Amino acid sequence: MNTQAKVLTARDVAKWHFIAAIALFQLQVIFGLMSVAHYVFGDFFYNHLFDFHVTRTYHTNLLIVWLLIGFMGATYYLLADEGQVNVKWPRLALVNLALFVAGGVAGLVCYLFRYWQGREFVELPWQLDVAVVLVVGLFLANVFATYFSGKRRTSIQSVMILGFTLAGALYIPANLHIDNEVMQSYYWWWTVHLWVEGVWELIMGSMLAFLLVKMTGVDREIMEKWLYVVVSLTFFTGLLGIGHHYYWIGTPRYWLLIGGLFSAMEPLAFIGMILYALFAKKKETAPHPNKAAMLWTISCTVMATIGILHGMAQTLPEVNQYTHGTHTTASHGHLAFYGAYAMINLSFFTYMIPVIHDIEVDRWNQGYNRLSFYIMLLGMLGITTSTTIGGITQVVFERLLGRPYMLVQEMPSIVTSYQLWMFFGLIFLAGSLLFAYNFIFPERGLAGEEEARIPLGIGAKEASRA
Amino acid sequence: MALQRKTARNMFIAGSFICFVALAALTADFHKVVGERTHEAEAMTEAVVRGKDVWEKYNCINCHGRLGEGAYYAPDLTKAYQRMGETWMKHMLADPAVAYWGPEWNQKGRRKMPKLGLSDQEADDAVQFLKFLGQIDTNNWPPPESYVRGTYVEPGTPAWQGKEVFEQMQCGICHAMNGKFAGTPQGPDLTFVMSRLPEDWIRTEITNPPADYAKTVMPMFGPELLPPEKVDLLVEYFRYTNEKLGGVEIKGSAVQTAAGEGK
Repeated sequence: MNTQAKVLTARDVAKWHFIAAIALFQLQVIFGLMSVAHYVFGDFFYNHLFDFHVTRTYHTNLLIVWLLIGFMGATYYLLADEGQVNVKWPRLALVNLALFVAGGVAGLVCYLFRYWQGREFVELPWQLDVAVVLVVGLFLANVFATYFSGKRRTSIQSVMILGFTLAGALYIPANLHIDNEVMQSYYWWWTVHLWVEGVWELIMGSMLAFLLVKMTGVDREIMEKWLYVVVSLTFFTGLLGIGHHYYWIGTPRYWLLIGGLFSAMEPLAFIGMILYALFAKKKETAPHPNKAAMLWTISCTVMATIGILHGMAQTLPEVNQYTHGTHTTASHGHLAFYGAYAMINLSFFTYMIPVIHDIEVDRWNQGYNRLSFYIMLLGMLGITTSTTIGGITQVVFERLLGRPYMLVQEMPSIVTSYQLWMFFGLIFLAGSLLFAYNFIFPERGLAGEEEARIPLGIGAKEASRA
Repeated sequence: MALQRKTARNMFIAGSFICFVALAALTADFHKVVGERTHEAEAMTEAVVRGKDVWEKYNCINCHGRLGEGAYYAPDLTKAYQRMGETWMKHMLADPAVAYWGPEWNQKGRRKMPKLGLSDQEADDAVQFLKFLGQIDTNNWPPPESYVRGTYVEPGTPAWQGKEVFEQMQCGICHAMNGKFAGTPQGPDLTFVMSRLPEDWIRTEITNPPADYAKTVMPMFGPELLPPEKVDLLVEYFRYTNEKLGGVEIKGSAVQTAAGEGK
């Protein structure tokens, strides 16, 4: 450990962000499990502090908060590292983090008292919205100051900053109060869709490019060029791809055509990301010792693409008319969110483990990290497969045969899909806990302390045997 | 490769700008037509606007959905007004345990709606809000198949009013209807009653049950409780459901068919 350091560096700033993000991630998974318990046990916590609408609000809000905190930590580190400077105001960055977490926790407490805005995913009461805007404003100020104080300015930085600035601006539409519910929904999607299928992809692309440049050593000029191509695909398909949310909410019929056309092309950006990652991996100058981070990074692009293809399968209006509003949507949401945004964050965290603990890569137990990767992968694939099948059953009986909602929900095949959902959710929790444990105690569980102390190289194995 | 980083960046900026302008233009068009597509002028009353606030105050969307968007834990409410009618929804908002009609739904382990404690005013406004949702032009969503069964009735029609009478008189406490099960099935399922009994027999069963069967447990719904015009509406509801689900209505009077029908 670097005990000498009195100055807060970008590394320390990132460390505290990632610890906060990982803690909230665990909470998110726990509230996800509580929500699925409502499905499995019916009146679990019925008329209780934690009714379903509360646990579900917790689940989605915690997701957004931990992803954003992860993005923020990554932004500080990435900007400083690319610019070859420190974060401009590192202490402010930590205060900012504390305020952001406090705001989030205050929101969760408000929900317990049923005080909320009641608009999905942006339930935060308006008083806290104002606080969030101020905190994000400070964050952006710090980000821009760091960017302009940098010794060099790179495209990876520009894309990240553009992504975060737009994300901040796009928080506003969903929080406007509009009397007509259809118009409310129209602008609500500007926040929700343009975040997750637009500007967040810029943040993700930038993080991906940074990780690949760092780990493969491929020429920056090439990587930055293709980064622009990937984010171009994102915006060209994603901006008008918002049309797939405008099929059935009271918008004109031409949206069926626009939405179908552009959202069917949305996978292009993610397929682009896979090719991008594989291209970099193929051209790598030397294998990077942080193998776990490489595993996460490449798998992230693949899983994100699978999630997006799952969505593409139901995005055409002819199909969507029947699947819209069933559990196939929830299933797509889980797979795509985990594959894209959770995994890019976890990739970045994994890359940063040896950096923030200031240890040699071989002093860190990568095995636990990789095990957690596979456990979470199994968990998430199980969750999404079971809910996809449950969702299709729902489509058949509810949408095609016209059975009442609750009678379909109590069909044995659908009940079973919920039980499987919960089972795989528990597996996922085990994986996420292992990830957190390994993140905080990277050295625990190494085969032998002696072996671990000797730097990787010739004679290391022999020395441990002696 | 011929593509330069600068070219790629400029392509990104220009292309994104064009896409955003296109989205802005489409949004401007939507602002023009939204009033017409939601029948804002006649349908969006003050109660509807208040009802939207009630919808948000109780965070309804984190169990239910509307316009297909929401939490999927409870039914989508876009066409709830057509499916359930006003009376039933008000029962539900006041105390779900009453709306569920007895022990069947209230037994442990079944998913149900919590008691949210809405005031009467809030419940009325929420129902008006759901009525507003029901008449939005949604490009044919939910798909027609999903409400082709008798649960969906066009608001304002005699059948819809008959359904309201059915709920007001709480017929569902004893009788099943349209796949909705009664709490304690004392009486027969009425979904296809028009296929089983002629119309005047049904009227007698409602207004004076002992005339048909002396030991019946069915209460008498005389004219002071159920005026004749409401009985007409009830019959319309039975007829609508029967037809919609493919039943064949028995024509003629009780006297002609009694021998063949039996009890």
